[in-house]
Amino acid sequence: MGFQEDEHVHGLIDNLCFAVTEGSVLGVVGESGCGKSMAALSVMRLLPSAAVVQGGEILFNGANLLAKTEAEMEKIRGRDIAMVFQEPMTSLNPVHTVGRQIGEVFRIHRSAMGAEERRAATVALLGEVGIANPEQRCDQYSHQLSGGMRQRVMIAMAVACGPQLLLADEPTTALDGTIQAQVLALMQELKQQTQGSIMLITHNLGVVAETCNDVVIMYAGRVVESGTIGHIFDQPGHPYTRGLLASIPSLAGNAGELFSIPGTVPSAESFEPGCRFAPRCQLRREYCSREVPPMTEIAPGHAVACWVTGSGRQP
Amino acid sequence: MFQYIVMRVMKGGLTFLAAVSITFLIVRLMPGDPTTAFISDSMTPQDVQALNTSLGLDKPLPEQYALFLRNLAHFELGQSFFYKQPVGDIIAPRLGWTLLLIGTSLLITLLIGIPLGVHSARHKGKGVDQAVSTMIVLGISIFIPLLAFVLVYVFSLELGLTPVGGAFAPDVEDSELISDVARHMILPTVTLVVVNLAQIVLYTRSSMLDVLKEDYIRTARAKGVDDRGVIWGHALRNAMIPTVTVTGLMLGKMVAGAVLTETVFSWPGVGSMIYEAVQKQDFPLLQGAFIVLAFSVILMTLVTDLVVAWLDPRIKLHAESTR
Repeated sequence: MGFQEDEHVHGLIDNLCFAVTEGSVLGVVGESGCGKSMAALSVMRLLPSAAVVQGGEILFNGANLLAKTEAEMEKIRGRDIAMVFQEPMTSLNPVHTVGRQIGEVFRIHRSAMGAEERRAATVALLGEVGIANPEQRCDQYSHQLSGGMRQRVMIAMAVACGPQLLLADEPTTALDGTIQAQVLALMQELKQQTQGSIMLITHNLGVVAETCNDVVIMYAGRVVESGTIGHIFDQPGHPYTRGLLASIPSLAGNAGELFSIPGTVPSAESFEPGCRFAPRCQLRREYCSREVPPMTEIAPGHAVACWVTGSGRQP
Repeated sequence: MFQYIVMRVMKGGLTFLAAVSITFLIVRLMPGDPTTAFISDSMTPQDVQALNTSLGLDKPLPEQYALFLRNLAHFELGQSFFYKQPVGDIIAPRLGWTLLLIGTSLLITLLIGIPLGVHSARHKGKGVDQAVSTMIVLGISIFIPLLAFVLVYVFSLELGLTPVGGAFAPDVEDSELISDVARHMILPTVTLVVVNLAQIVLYTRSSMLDVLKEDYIRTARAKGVDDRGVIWGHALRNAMIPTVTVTGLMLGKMVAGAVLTETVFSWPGVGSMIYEAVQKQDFPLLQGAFIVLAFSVILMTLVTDLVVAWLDPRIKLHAESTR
């Protein structure tokens, strides 16, 4: 996938390959701007108009979503695949009541429901996502709700039809600490009920440790490491993953300065050949920038894209 | 909502008071004495004095102002110098004609402008949008009398399709009055629509483009809402908030445009009356016209504000929480 700008397409995401297993939670981790959100939006086929999908396929229950028509996608969105966005403040329509916005999901995907049935289902759903006085809240507007409540409304909207896959794009980033934990607990609870899977996008490794089964680490538009949560936290293979883990403040740790990875994520215009992390890497060899490192399995189900720690061979 | 309306009506009342006070001062500060229009050589100084007294011009300004407000409260707008009739009686029928013209133009402007703006926003940068953008520039920069004269020349004089001016033919029968008025209305309405359409299209288009970038539009799409539902169900109401506000502001300009349009087409409304009153130095009539127009504009602005509050729940709720 890339971005079109003045007839020139900047490649943004490539070699992105991951799978969400049924009934599990996949964490997608990476710094801001590494393409996590774009990956989720491309699953929904809701990429901004400047974005161009250059190739590849997105398989959902064996069918390629990229080959679907817009009308087919409209049936899938909100019913089979739903999404929760980062900004609950701006993601709700200010001129419609929250009840109407949730009810709309039923109106589209459960057209057999009558108006009263829809309202009852909406109120029940609001109660389920932990909103007090759902009957009354149903007729309120988003600006009358707190940030946490707005995100609960967003979640209610997303899970209304019991989607098989829930894409959660940093659902807790805009919320304060205590609410974060509640919202994450809620999402897991709902997942248990619907037997669906979640793709949780975050830059917070703490959130990943608490919620996910599998993890994909992304850097600058590519997957650099993937594995189960145990693999990633206990034997991180990629230098970037190690850096991320080292920059988590620890209660037991020494009081010295917190580790941080030097430099910043490059923008799509300034991607270098070879390994994109190489310029910031402490284990960098001169051959790292020659070719893109392939994903290499270092243990069953645990793969790393690194010339130094992964493949054991040189390009 | 009720509190919001009460508050807004009170604000409108204050605005009206300010407007009539300014009108009162403007008329009295204009060069030339109103009485000079009446005075002939045969009048004695006593006659002039009597005239001044009868018009209340011999009293000090504050007293004149108090009298003016008291008369206004009784809907007394004074006596026209030229017609020698109560100003209210002259303005009332003419106001009807003006409202008919402005109301029809506004309705047509909105009915064409909003869908056109939406369509143009949806096809941004394509042929339709570029044609519309060109039209916007032309519409905004056009000079009303020029457009009116061109229309009269082409459609009335050359093609003979429409009447040259007036609101109805003098010899028209009652049964054909409506169709005759409609025929007379075509050109002045087209003039006003062309002039105002650009603004509505421009604002609808640009606010639609802004709204379509909002996060909640993406949310709607993520729910599976189709294109039509996104535009008409989620985007339009939000996009209409600035458009309606602009329409309210435009009304004042429309009244000004109506003076020019009515004069060119001899439309018997308040606009052409103002033009005549200025020429005849008919101060009470002019003052009355200003007051009536100020009232109409304030009233229409009030209606606009109420529509905006209805469109945008944040406004009325804010008003209620800060009372």
